[in-house]
Amino acid sequence: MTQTRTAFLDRALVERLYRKARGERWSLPLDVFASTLEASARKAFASSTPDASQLDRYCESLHLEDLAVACACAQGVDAAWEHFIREYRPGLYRAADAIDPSGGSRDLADSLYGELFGLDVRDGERRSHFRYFHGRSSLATWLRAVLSQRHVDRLRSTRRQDPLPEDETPGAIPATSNEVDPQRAGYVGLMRRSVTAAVAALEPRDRLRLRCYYAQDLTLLQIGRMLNESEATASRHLSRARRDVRATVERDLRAQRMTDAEIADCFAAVVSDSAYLDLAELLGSDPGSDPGSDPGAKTARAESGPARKNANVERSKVKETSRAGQR
Amino acid sequence: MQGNGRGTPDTRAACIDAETLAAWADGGLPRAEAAVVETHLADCERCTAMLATFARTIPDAPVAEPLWKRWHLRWLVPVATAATVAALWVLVPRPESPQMSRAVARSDSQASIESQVSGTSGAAQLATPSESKEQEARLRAAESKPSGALAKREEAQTAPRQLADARGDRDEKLQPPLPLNESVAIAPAAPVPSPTREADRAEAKSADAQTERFSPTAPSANAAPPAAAAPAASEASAKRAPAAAPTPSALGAASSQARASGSFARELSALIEIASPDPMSRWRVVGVGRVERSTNGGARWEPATLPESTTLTAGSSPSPSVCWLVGRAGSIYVTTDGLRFVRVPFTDRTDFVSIRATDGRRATVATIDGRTMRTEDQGVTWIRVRP
Repeated sequence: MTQTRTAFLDRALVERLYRKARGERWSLPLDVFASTLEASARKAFASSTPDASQLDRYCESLHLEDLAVACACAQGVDAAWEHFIREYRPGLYRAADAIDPSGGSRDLADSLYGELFGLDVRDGERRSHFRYFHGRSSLATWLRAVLSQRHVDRLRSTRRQDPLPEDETPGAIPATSNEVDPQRAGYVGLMRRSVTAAVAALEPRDRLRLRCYYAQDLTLLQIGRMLNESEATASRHLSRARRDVRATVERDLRAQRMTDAEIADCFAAVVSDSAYLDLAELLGSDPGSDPGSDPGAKTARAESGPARKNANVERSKVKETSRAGQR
Repeated sequence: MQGNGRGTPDTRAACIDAETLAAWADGGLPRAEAAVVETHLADCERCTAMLATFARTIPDAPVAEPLWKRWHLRWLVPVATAATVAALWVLVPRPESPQMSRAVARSDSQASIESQVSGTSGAAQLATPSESKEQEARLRAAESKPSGALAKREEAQTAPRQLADARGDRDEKLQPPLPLNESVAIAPAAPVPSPTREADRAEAKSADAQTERFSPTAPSANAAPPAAAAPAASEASAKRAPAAAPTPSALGAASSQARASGSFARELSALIEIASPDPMSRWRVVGVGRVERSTNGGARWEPATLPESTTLTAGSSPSPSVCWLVGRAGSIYVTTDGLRFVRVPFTDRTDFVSIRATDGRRATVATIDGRTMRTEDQGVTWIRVRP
């Protein structure tokens, strides 16, 4: 860990935080701790210049003891490493097992552990991955987050290299049948656009719950823990979000002069084949696909503009088809 | 947030790094920044995947020790009990004379508690005034149990940081995550297991074979006042609930099982429309206490009348003119003419998750705490059954 001048932080504040972090337990040099604090503050206030009180509040809110442990480990202090191995490494491997119970993520944990130890030597200086820990979370949380990030990034890079499935394989996408009911196809198109727009109009946290529940297959308990709410609350919010989506979709379809019966048919059309309205597909759940290629979100954003006209055109086609069928 | 420094497209430049995710999860970000992170997490596929992976690594939170079990507070239990009994002895007026009535035969403690409420058991009739007072004191102490038992159950089920939230949302806790009744019109006949039913099956394995019979409406011969009987029934159900109620993890797991591909479509479409065997006749719930009926397959809807405004959760229609609806707080309604719903009595004020009706008098309901109850006389009596 590089030693830099601590122009950002008051010396008295650093000393106070050092005592609070129990830095002396690891015989951690004060300057090293000060530079770690400064790196943390610089990241937190990257886009603004904090005053003394803001800095004070920020530094006091840090997980200082964990920061001192990380700092000491990065410095290669044996006692700190023993502490890390005893207190934190088991959690790291438990997290790896939780991500992949078959043990497929153990190598990620091993790799991370090596990087934390500082196997990466650059310009004669050992560079530990601990330099990215800033104390804004607990060390255990940070380790789990780093592991999760690496798992997802590896999954994405792996899937990009996977060949497309052969026509005969189970993963192959079946070709659309020639015998598609045009009226139903029109309903499905309307519903997909309307639902995507309705989901996009939700509050971010509601959208997050829907994504996690339907696209990422998390349980209500996991969602609740993640958002610091009870399972019951997560369930309630999820139900409300569904109701909101439903209401918005109905409103949208009525705005297109659809009757109640037609709206019911729209819902029936997507229910008859659930693949028509799979939220995971609408929002995108495959971590192997390209980032930012969320077709649902893009459609939703475009819906307010010219796409609305297209939707109306399609709705007219549906109407005409319906009338033709009645004749 | 920061880029990943790998020269990826601009969309990745705003992606969240692990340190920021950890800070967000631990509440270490200022509110404004946390909101930005949350919005990004909700919209970015990669970051949602990272968050979901992260969520799977969150260890189980330790169960909070109930307040009364903490060693330094245990001495309060006998003191508080004695004080309560003394206060009741002084404050509660003595009944003039026990009322004569016939106790309803019941197989559990509910019967004895309820009979004490009404003072109808033979022992109560023969008791001296002082014994009667003691019984009354015991009874009142027993009446105070349900809330304590419920709180204890909640404490055991929720993490410490969720405790206050769970208590605040006690009513909401009863709301099922998924509308899973197979009677919903648009949804196909449910191949999806209901969490409650899963819990019911689990309960059935462990429960003994006895069938319990309950009567929601106190028969005329039973002098127990409904207001007093209700807490006793609640207590009885609360006593049974810990074994029957699905744990949060079980609920989540079952919910997850229910989430086959496209379940969102079914759930979205099932809020709540009930079709009769004749597809032309159907009902739908359009809001709290608002129900509409259609006799032409949904082309035109006319409002139906409910006796009260309540949140409805499921329905079932066994014939074109009969429809049952269930909802929160013991709400069950039935109509036999298609338009006017009447309230069906039930044993307690639990929430329902589903109903399956056979005709205008017979129906089976599933409660949120895992019970399955059947009536064959439009709610006059209820029989607990295995699912």
